[in-house]
Amino acid sequence: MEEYQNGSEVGVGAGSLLWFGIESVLGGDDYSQTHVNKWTAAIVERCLTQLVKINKPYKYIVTCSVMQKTGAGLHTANSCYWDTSMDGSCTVRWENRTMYCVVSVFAVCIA
Amino acid sequence: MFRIITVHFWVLQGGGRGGEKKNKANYSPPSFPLHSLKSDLTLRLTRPNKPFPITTISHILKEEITHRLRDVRYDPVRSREMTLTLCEVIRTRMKEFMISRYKTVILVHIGQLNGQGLQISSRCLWDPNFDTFVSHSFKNTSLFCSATVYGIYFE
Repeated sequence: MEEYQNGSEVGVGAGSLLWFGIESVLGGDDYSQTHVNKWTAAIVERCLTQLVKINKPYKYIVTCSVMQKTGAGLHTANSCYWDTSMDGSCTVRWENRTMYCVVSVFAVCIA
Repeated sequence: MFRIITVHFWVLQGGGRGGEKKNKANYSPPSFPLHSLKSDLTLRLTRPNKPFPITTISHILKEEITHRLRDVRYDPVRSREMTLTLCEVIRTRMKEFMISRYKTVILVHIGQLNGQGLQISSRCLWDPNFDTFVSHSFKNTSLFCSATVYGIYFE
């Protein structure tokens, strides 16, 4: 599931980019406390690398949360003070049998 | 928004008497009035006037989160509203500082404590000289909260 808040050119392509970033790291794995640190680092690294390849004049913030499925609730919200015509964000939610993953990218225009 | 361009004219006077080499830089003022250079765009090539107030924002996060969540039990509906409220409140308090040329992104997570594992990571492509972040985490007997504020300098 994806959500966009946009003026930025990062837009629709970012959603699938993030999705594939998550899938390539977490796809087929069960939640593991020993590996989760490595997974989140790999997801943000992969997503950021793909975003840089788009070659747009943006600064990026990529955040990733991975939570084990135990029935507990998690709420995430963001609020931004920026130029709504140029800057934007994209959030992707992914899950499998044992964990949830939420990745957000915020793209802030440079000049 | 105004751009003020200051133009300096440097005149290098070289040469001199035979055998002697003098290099002398003289400043001569522009030959037209400076006010004619003012136009309607802003461009600041140097560093920000004021640094991002990390300590103050850290205090704000701590104060707001503790004040609002100290004795609160986790509830799905209230927690959802609380994340949005916290985001708005933090953004409003930050606007009071009039931090010029900084764009801000505020991220708040509130979750239930149920013995689950959770990892939150972030990575940024930015200018580390001017851009920064502040983070604060809170926990009580039934919930946890993590708030992060990113400050991005607008060049």
